[in-house]
Amino acid sequence: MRKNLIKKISLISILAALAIILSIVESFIPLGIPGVKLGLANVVIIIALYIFNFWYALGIALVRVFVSTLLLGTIFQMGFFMSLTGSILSLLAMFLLKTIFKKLSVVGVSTVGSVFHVSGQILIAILYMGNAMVYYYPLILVCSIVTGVLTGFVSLYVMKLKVFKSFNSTENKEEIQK
Amino acid sequence: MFKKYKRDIILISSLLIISLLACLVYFNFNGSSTNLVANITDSNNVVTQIDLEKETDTEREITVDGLHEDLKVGVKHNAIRVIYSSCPHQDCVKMGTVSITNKPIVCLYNKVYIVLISNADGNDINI
Repeated sequence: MRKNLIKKISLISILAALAIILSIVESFIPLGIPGVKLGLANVVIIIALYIFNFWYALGIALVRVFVSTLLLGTIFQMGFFMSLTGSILSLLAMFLLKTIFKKLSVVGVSTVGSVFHVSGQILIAILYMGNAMVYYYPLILVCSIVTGVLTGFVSLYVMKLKVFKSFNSTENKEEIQK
Repeated sequence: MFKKYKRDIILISSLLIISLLACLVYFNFNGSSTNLVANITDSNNVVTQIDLEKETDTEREITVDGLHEDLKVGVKHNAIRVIYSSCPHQDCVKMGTVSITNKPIVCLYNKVYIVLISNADGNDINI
């Protein structure tokens, strides 16, 4: 029991650290559209959502946003609020979709999460800067679907790794096996 | 393989079709590259209008108030670009010269955005 708890805490810490690292790395990979990133850190959030539960995933997402923006020197700036809103909205959408439509795989859930992530970011950008960002929305939406599918497949294969197997509930095991 | 992901394929295809249609509609029916007017909104939310139709082919440099540092913007006949910005990723500079209405230049870091509108009616612009 105690050994399992230590294992769980260690894995959550590793996931949080990984999310922060991926977040910082992807901030150096510009895609040519202001504020748009690959969404690599989303892989970790999806894994946390499937392996553990919504609250652990939310905790990792919040730690990722706060620590990565603190390290990048952009905390409480525009990018921070865009990232925070996008992450929370994306996680909520993924959790609801995972709970309601049980037959959807990780790839579908990840794609919807990615769409909600950019929608949240655009929403904040519109509130901050006005309608100019609306012009980018159709293009960003297409990019988010492509990156969402990619992160979904990456998450699917990472979750099949031996290290995660002991944490998977029976229900999640079935979903990951799909 | 496809049967296993049937629902995902339907969901992703629907999302992709909707977004691609939005792109198609937007980029096909909303673009104009003549009689352009640049609406430059600076970090203080002050809008400066520049009639690009009246500009010459020689690029003129103007300064725009940015949140962290001023931006240098180059304007010429029906075209505009950001020459210098202090933003970390330089997305606004990398966008290069814009000469169409549906492609705004946005600098989130300095809170500046430039939108081109078509002045097809030839109305006077207050610069």
